Amino acid sequence: MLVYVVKRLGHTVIIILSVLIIVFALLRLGGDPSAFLLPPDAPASAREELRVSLGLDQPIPLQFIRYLQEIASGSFGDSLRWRRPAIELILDRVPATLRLTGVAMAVSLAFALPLGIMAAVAAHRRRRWIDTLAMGFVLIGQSMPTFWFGLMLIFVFALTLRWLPPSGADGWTSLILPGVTLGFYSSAIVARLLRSNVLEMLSQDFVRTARAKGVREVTILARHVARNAAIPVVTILGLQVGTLLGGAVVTEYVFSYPGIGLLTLDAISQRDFPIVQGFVVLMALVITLINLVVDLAYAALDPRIRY
Amino acid sequence: MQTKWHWILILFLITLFSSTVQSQTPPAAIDEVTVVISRDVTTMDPQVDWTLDARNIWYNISGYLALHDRNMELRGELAESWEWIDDRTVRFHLREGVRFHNGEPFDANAVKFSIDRILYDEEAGSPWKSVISFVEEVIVVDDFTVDVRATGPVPTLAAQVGRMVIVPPGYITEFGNAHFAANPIGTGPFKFVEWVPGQRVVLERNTDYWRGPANIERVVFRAIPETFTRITELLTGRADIVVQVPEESVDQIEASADSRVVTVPSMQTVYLGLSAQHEPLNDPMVRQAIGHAINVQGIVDFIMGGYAQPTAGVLNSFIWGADPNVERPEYDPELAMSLLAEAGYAPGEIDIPLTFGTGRFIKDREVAEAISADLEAVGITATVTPMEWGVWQENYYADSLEGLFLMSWTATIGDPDDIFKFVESGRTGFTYFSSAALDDVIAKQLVTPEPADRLPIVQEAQQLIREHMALIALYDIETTYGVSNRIEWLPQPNDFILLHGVTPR
Repeated sequence: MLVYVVKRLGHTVIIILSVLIIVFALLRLGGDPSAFLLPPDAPASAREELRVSLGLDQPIPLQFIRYLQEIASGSFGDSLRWRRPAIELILDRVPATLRLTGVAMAVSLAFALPLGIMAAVAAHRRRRWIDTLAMGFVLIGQSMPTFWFGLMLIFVFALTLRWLPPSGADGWTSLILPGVTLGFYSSAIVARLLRSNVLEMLSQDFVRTARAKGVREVTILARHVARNAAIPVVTILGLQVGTLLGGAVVTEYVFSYPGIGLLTLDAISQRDFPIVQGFVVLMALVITLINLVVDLAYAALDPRIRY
Repeated sequence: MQTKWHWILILFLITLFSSTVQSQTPPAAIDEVTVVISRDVTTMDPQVDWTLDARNIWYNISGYLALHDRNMELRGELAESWEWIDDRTVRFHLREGVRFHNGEPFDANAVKFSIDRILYDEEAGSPWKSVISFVEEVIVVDDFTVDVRATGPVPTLAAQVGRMVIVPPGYITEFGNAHFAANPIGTGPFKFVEWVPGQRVVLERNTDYWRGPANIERVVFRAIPETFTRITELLTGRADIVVQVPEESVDQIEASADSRVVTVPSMQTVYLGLSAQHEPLNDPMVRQAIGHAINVQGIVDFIMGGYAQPTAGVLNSFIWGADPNVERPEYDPELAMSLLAEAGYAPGEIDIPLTFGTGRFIKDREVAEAISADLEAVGITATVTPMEWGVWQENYYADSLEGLFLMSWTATIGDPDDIFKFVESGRTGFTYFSSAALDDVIAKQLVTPEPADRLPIVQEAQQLIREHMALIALYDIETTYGVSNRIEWLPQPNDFILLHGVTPR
């Protein structure tokens, strides 16, 4: 088991490095921060001077090595526009995004659990229409682009009904619309998976045995089915964290929610390399570690799995 | 006897009390105004973040020597008057009795400190350094007179130096740049209260402002990049001034009882550039043909919905020296076709890209497509090629753009040189048009500070640009703002949101 964990951690480092190389190169091939750091009135010579002072005139591999050296000494560089350590700026915004992602996951489960289980039970009992209804709802959720869904929610709940604020981060009411936007898409995936797993469980021998013994349906569902169905669901939820964090970028933009997604989006359009690079490293780290945790949890839940 | 004295004492105290109450500034007529800008600021140092959104905050907190007003006349703020004392030095006469928010006096030392900070303070790192690099020395003549000497004759000296923000020397010397960048103070109508990055900047009224206190107690700036969300904030009454309102939202805002659309002809002009260094655009007849092929009025009416004006000549009409005698090329597709034939090109033979960086001005894609269609009608294939802004800029500065390109430009200080620099060889780093004659004229106007002498040279430059069709000015954009019906506010052509003059409606 320990060997497995160590090997996985090694993989993590390789993955992060690969992602970093790709993003590092792409950023430098696709634009120049000096054009954003100086007013358009500035002469071309000033831009060139700035490029040189930022080391951008060097070949990309050389720049990358210098960047690695910087990381080794503990810094991800200073944001070109904020003039503060990039990692500080990113970490400042992480709590906000975590709150958003937390709400999104709660929303996701709140939709997915009842829908998925209901659909599975209905399908098992040959009550087609509940199943179709639930899955239809889920399909709609999966087909709607986050951006558009967010705007629709603003239109209905902020503009027309005036129940909730359209943007910002003042208080818990600001978390509702972005949280639902972000969580809705993920709930679709979880609901479908849950439905198919629960359905499979319900026709298993051990369930028929429990029924024959006279155990109540609810208990069967809660105790026997749930635990078994939980395994793949935990996996998916873990993987969803990555999607949620990615989707948070779009959601944060639509709602002007001050998380790392918005910070990074702004940084990308302004070619603020250190922030984008720091964000990428952080995301790669979070996602690969969560995947590791999920795999270990898998082993804990299913006695058949041992590494 | 004692009762009488009591009454006199009470009367005296009442009089004393009411007089002190009256000498306090009455509360502002408007409690709070929320302004929604489109991009967040990245520092509170007013000499560092140069973007328009940030400057809207600075010009309410800080003072500056002079800035253009609604008629694009240079109006003195901290400088009462100025004059050229020789061909490269401007003497500014400063306003007396002005103080920074911490009580520090504003004087010639503050001006010297501020300009020197931009030019020499590496730690502060102001990006304006290269823009005012022509300043050789700032000389304190006396407490309220300061000379700015340039390395040569610079016609735009007063305007360029005038718009630089004046910062408090004592405060910065005592607390340092980093502290100032988080807690700025200035001489402006509003004082800094707080900045929550990503969320808001809050200012409060400066009751000691030398022009008199503003009518607003608190100002909140919020950055909301998504257009629909921005407009929703206005329509739900959570914002009072909202920038960049697209044409399709105008009806919705006007229909609401609580808000309206306010427009102002701006300094922003959309241009069509031609890479005249390459074939076939190196042929002046081809360029002329293109100029006559484009239906600018059509674009203004149908795409911009009337929120624009065809540019009169080569320069936006707010720019000093815009020559009324230089006319825009007339829309004449027949003429265009015959010019092309004369130049020896068969219809369909010319196939060039039409590039632009996305997101820089409203309806960029639609305008590009309209132009492409117009050109198609005269036998030129111009393939619309949108590029992400950073990528377009990259190509632009690397001198690798070919064919036609659309760009919008705001001549912030209203000086013609702001546009001329695009057609002078090598000045911006991207040379797509080169003419020795034009270069000479542009170089000459740059060193002729006396307006009377400079005007004919500036006009000559415009005539040459028009003759060569070096750059085609399409239309001047009207900037639209969404404004709450609670307040009365007048926008400016140079896009600055100045809040001192806001009154309740």
